[in-house]
Amino acid sequence: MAPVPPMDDPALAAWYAALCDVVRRGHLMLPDQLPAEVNAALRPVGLKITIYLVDLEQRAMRPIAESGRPGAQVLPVDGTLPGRVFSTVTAVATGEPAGPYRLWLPLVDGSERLGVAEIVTERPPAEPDLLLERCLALVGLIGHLIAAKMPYGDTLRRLRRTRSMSPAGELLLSMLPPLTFTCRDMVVSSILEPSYDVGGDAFDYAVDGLVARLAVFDAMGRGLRAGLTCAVAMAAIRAARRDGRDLVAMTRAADAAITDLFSDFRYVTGVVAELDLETGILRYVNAGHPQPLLMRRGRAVRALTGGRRLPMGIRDDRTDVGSEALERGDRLLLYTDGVVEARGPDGEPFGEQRLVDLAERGANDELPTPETLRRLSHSIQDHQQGPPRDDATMMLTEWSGTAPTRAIP
Amino acid sequence: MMASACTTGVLPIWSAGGTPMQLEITTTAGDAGEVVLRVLGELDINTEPALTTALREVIESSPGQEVVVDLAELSFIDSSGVRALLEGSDRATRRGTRLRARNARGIVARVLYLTGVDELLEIASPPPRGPHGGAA
Repeated sequence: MAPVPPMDDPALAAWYAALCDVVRRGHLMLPDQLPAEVNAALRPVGLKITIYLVDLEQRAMRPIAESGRPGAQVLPVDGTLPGRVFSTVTAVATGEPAGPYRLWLPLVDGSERLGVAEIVTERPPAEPDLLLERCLALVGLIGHLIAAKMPYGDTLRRLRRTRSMSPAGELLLSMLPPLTFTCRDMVVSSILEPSYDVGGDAFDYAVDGLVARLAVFDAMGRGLRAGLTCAVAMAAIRAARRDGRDLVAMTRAADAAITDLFSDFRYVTGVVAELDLETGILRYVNAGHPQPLLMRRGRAVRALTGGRRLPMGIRDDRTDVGSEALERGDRLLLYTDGVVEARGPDGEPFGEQRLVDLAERGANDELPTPETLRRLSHSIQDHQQGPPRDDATMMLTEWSGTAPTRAIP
Repeated sequence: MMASACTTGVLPIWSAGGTPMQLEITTTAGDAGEVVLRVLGELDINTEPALTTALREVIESSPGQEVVVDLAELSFIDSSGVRALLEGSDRATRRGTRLRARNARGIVARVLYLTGVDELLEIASPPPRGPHGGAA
């Protein structure tokens, strides 16, 4: 058992009171009142906080405005110290001997990267490590609070957008789980581009006990029509999954939902998989989708060719399920064809070989899984140099005990 | 034997890049009495209605006759193009015949292989190989 801290320590008692006050204020606060309410709770312990949220393209972080305080500046993720705090999910302290002491802390909900928090104290702390530990706990709480408050207003959502969202994007984004989830044995992280005008791509996952269920989807066509088809397939698969049905039954549930509603042979390609977190056994069905890529010790070792069936929405009586034994540390990359078909100005597609090369480079950089994926996605956009012809979605799953430690503060 | 040849669809469409994208469909009779649709150009969301219409007309006007779509001169296909082939295949099955495709190459072969539609359309050519045993 951890030693009971001496509550007669007035500094500790003040911290305890401040944390309780944050929780108490949380019940009634509006999403946009969050900085003001948190700062009111932190005044007795002499701290001032500024909260920055990252935009959907994960390129810059913007402060949540607080009335009565001058607006803080926009922080690019690339090439800045706070950007490094965000991308590496690691706190940094700065400060001159005479001036204010400043902490930059990664703002996460669990392991979902939301932005950064800047905490300023008037004087350098007597025990910097103790202050850091307390601020990590505080910002951990604030990360959960932001995620809990986000659905109740549009202010925070708007802050994360640099332009308006298409109806198709609004439909699909409302269905997606957070980009990153981490538990003791696994990190799963996803990225979806274009952030504001997604057509028919989506991803989904659920982790229960020792089984992680993963899926990526790509509905044919474009815009809202494709978004609707994808939403229907995703809803059918979720319903089947929560009903305890197996992989083949999940894809058949999607077949039934699509053909019940539409008669024009529209379809959704996708991979539906389940990973046993104890044994590493991966089982998967591939419905007309690019084959998952298995990475081992930093190398792409093979594409997973099993479990084939026609795209969802097209009847297929096969019951094939692919199987692969993962080793600890393996990474599984699921992606939609928009990733490899993204064309450069010369019309040359990004291609599978380039994806493999970049994924291998990323596997060796010891970064948090979501950061590996963010860099991979930006490389594809840089190749493209223009509006994408198709959605590009990736989901990277890492089955290991060390990856989770890199994904959290 | 080339009994009759007629061009059923020439659709010039300006793509986003400013280059014209078009689809040309030529219908001929094959050696074994099948109807052959030669598809030339790019098959995507803009041009697929031409193929959908051509397949519907051919299948409905000559019931029971086998239909072959020759893709030798098709340089691009997207998911909407695949949809047109799937609709044609379903229509042919319901009319008591079948629709096959042949001579897919490059990105067209890759897309049909990945979606698994190559098997449905009885495309005989081996799947294209990628750097790790997957589709190129």
